[in-house]
Amino acid sequence: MAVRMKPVDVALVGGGLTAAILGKELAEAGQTVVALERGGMRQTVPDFQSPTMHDELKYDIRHAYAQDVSVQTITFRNFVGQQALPMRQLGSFLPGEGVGGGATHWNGQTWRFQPEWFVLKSWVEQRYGRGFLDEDVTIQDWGITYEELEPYYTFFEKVMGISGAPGNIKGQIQVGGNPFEGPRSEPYPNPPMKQSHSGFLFGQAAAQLGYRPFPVPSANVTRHYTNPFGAEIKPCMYCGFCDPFGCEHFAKASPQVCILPFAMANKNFEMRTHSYVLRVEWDRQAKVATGVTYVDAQGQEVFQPASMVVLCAFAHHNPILMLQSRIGQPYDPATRTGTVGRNYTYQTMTGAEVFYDGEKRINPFMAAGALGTAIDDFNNGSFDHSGLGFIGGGYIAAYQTTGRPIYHHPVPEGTPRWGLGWKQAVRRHYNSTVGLGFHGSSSPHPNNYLGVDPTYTDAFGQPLGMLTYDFPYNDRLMARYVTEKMAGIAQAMGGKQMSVGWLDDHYSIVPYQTTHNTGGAIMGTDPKTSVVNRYLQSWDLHNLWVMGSSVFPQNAGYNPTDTVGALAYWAADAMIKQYLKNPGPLVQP
Amino acid sequence: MIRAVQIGAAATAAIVITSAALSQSPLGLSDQREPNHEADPNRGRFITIGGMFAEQRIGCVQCHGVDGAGNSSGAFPRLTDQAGWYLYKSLRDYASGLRPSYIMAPIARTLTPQQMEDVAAYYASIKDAPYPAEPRADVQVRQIGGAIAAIGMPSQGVPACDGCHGPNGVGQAPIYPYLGGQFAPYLQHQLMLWKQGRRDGDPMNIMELIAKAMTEEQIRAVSLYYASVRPKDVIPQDARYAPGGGRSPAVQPTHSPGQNPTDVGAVQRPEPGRGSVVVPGTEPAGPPAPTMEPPLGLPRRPLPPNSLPPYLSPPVDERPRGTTTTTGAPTRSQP
Repeated sequence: MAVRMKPVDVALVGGGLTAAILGKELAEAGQTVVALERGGMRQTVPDFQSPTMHDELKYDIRHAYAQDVSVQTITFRNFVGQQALPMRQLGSFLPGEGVGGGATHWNGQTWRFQPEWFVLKSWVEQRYGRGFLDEDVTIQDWGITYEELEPYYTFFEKVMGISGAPGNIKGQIQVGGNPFEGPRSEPYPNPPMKQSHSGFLFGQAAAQLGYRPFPVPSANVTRHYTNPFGAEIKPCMYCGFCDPFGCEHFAKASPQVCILPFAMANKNFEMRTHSYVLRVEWDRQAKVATGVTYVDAQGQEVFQPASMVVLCAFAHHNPILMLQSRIGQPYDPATRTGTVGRNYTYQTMTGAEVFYDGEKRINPFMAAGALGTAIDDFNNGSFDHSGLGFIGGGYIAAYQTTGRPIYHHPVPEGTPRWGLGWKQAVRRHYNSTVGLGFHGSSSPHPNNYLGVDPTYTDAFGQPLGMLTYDFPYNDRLMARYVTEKMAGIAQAMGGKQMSVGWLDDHYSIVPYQTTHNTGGAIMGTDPKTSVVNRYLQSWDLHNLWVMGSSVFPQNAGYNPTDTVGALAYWAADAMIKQYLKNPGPLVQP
Repeated sequence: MIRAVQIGAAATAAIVITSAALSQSPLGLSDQREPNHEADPNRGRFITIGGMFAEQRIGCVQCHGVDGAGNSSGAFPRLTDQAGWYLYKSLRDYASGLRPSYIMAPIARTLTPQQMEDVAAYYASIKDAPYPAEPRADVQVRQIGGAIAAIGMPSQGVPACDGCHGPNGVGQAPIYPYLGGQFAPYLQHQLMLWKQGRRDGDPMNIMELIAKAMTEEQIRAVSLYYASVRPKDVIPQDARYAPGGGRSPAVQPTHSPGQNPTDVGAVQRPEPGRGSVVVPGTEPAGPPAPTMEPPLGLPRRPLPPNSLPPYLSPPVDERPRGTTTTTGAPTRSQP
């Protein structure tokens, strides 16, 4: 029999970025809030202090701040009909574990989505016609527009102290910024990062080709900054240990630095660590969530009653938790019906490397997670898709994120994989190679979804979540088109050699690509095709809310964190101003 | 002949118009970087002892020692084994005025960038200078200093020193100097300069913000802590480290070359020998100019008008204060 805790107003599943945002705002609104975090407490002092923090083996290779897959993992397959197998080691993505979650060990690349992404389906139909896309490209509108979200973007960027060069202030294109971004009401709170030599070389070549390079917006804060709550963020020292590390300099915007201290200071807020949430309990008659059941640090099952439950876990955990709790209709790829687990998307990444063979000194160790120069000329709203047969796009950037010894050893194609030849090549190319990356959008496909595995269970005896994913045809066309452009820039950079990594294989869960898993509990306007409404409130249980990138109907060609944070503030606003006064569905289907 | 006059006029104009006086060397050494030049520690060694032909009347060695061991006056830090780039940047910062010093500024302005590199390379290449003896400080003070070094003071917004300067303050070449084994009065003096807003040259003002967030007691504690640790393993039996610096009570220092025997312990201000530091151009001007930078707390004074040799224009720092600098001095026009 589960232990029953004293009821609270709000139970947050997870202790990461969105939980910190909601915890602070709801606690200040007078609600009693408990955040249930499966991992332990993490603070800048003492957890992130050097020299132990700069342990690449522990944090990068052995994933000290990522999910423990021996407790719970997911199974994976490329296609419906294959046998899904458990992911026994982390690879393609690294869900965070511990207070702060993924926002502790992120790189800090903080992009807004272009306005077109939020109304993608209607935008495509209006601009290219109804028959432009195959019906398998199940893109959707979000139910929210960029203009509605803009104030929340601005506020979130102020909270995080984002550093960047604005490209469009109230419709006025700014020199030096991204001319393709949506109009912003205010510039970034901090100036952009100093650009690396690799970024300079990339920007020079891109500008020669007529593209418009600009510094990547960054949560590695560039000066001494005090955010609206009074948190002090320090300047980044470009040490090159951002992802997957915690920042010892108070310089990378993370919940511990920017938000959590103010939530923790509030008596209404409790961060309950080592609490592994198993399921959301709900009343089948009244159609409301009644609380969550979790396993605490002693291994006993605990029931936490709550009048409101918010899923703030990692992207694919949220829909899987709903499936395990039997909330909503699971998505079925055979009939293409159901909503929970639908429209799982990822990110379409390709890369290129330019080898200067000793001619340039790149100094890759002078780096920061979001230190980069980018062009946005090939994002969705920036160019014409007519005749190309696909939708989407992404930015191309030269990032200088790290020169760490285990991680960073670029060598040209044809180099031996080990031994003397490899070592000589690493020595030759370490300091004179520039890597380019294409960060492409991901369109949904009816066969890509999250479900529940019929075979494997986790340490608590629950069925594992099952991921079925492969790169859809639309994204392959898109990646080929933009990668060609990227190869053109790489050519223009004038290296001695170059290599281009094309997207020419099935999706593999083994090599690290990115932790931008999105979808599965998507937002929208229709309960038949979405899980939550435009306020991120569940269509089925009005007191259940879903945060994070799991609500993205499709993933844009950008990093998701800025949008995740903005949506969390958008939802918090709706909860406090509308829902708490009159609990019930905020949108009538 | 006409050609020579033109060149001379152009050179004079360059001195007057720009502050690129750095390109004019008063020394007999080449003032231009040779193609594919590399910093040469041997050339640097000549400069440290007063120039190849003793034309530079102040040698670095007079204060910092041949081995760069420095002393505990607070004015003469330990240079041995410091990162070469850091030493070079320090000279640039003294020349440009980002770092205030009545001693180092005129000296640094007599050096060309090439000579700065050479001197930096020389002191960076020395590995075996003795460490100073541990300062006499209360264990509690050292513990406080050690805690500040290891984890900072989050409540005051002070990050851990070790985060950038390395565990035990070993330094992280090229930009973060070592602190372990540095003299406490020097560290204290530099932090106080930052606290008073008199020193610049730190990237993104990070050190200024840190120093301003610390109390004077905390500055003293962390300085004493770093003076009492050693950036590398010191083997007491190793003769190189033993004099004055050996930790083993079995090895008592009998002789500490390059050091004042009274250097042990807290802040001291030894009287410099009169004439030991001569600023070029000041010798005939009556009583000797103040030769010591006051260690702590005294207000900034403008440079006396005769403290610069006539062939040097006064320092002009055109950069706005508080911005990051990567090179200390205004760039010279390249040939």
